[in-house]
Amino acid sequence: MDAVNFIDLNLVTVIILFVVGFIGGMVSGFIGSGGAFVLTPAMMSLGASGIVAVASNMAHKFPKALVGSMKRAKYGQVDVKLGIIMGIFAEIGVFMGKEVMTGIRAAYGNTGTDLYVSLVFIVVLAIVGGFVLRDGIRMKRKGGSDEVHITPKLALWVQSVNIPGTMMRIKCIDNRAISLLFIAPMGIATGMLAASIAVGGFIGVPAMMYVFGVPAIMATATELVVAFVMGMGGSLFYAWEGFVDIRLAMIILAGSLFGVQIGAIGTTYVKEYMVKFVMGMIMIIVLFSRLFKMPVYLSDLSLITTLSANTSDVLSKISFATLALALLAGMLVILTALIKGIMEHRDETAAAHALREYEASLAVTTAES
Amino acid sequence: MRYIAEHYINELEKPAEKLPSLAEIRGFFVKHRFAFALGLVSLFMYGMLYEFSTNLTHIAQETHAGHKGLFFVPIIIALLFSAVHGSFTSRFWDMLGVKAKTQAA
Repeated sequence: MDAVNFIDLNLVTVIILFVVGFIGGMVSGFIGSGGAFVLTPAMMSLGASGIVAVASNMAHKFPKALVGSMKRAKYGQVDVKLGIIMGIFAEIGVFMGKEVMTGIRAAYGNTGTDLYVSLVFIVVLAIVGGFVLRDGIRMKRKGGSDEVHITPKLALWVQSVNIPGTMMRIKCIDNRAISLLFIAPMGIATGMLAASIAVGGFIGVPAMMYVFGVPAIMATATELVVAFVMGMGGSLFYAWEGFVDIRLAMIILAGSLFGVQIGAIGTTYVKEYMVKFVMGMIMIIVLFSRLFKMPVYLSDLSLITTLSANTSDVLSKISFATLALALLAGMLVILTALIKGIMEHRDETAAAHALREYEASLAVTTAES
Repeated sequence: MRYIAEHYINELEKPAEKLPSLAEIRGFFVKHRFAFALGLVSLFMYGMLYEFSTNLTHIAQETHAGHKGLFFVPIIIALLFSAVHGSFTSRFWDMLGVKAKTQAA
């Protein structure tokens, strides 16, 4: 069997990985879903093959998901039963997705997996990025960030279907029952996507919200349980094949754990539409970064006229620069929001404090007179 | 309003803050000793990761080649690192005073 390509690490790549991890973590803490859609392409831009990038990303994500889900379970936002059931089905999806990946690698080599991962990325980011931006714009027009939870029509229909022997009560939708025949395909699709690009939440969260009728905040929290169950399984599958580059995963983790905290703190200072804008913006820029790289992969696989080495090099550099732009733009927006928010909050607290003192002094003066 | 304005003027006219005393610095370290300890452990673990990085890629290559005896090593490393480094980073920003917004009273 051929050897797995692991990239050489030097001081520069280590620093880049740490910084990318930090910004990726910040973005994921801010928008509440895995920053893997930034991290997988970043690892690929540094020379890791698609399969190693996805495998290493999964290995750094699942313990983070465990920590995150335990934190949010404390606030009562997690439906453990739904999370575990979906996670188990997602596991099946991960296995299927991994088989597809190893199959592509066996048939077309590493470039084959690069092309496949990039293609899935472009399609998914275009759809999800578009939706998120549209949501953000709608929310901004309404001017508010508080959305009242209304059960979508599709979810009402799904909740009304009764297939004896397959029904399961779900706590977070007022203990109504849903057929496992609906949960299974959603879980499997989540897992397949996770095995392909290391981000399953793009299917898992909308599925829970729009198909089952789970409120947004519980859907994102429960997704963490799904991410842990399938991430752990997926990492084991990939580790079994020797595709996990634990050095890469842990350097990214070093930065991302610093970033994730800052990102999460940042959300408490901004309106929700801002979060959606940042998320949509980064997704669309990352999409273009992958798009620039497509001709290179196609040419390597001789699916189009072979590009000159010079053209390939220029396209790879443009792709990397676009990714850097996405990261820097995201970081800038989040940090600006955070610093501005902290300063405004300090002023508000000081003003409120001064006002209270003034009122107290007024009360004393009135009492004295 | 005047009172609030005066409050701000007073804030501006406050003398520049003194450098922290030795006791204050010591107090800071004592208060955050657990965070520092976690940071050191985390640093040590990353040192070990660097030291054994060649062995780790070797294990992966061997696993890929069919010797599955140590396939679980990356998973154990991932769990350990995220537990230690995760606890450290969550204390780190708090230590520097970067905190989530609390509802103003």
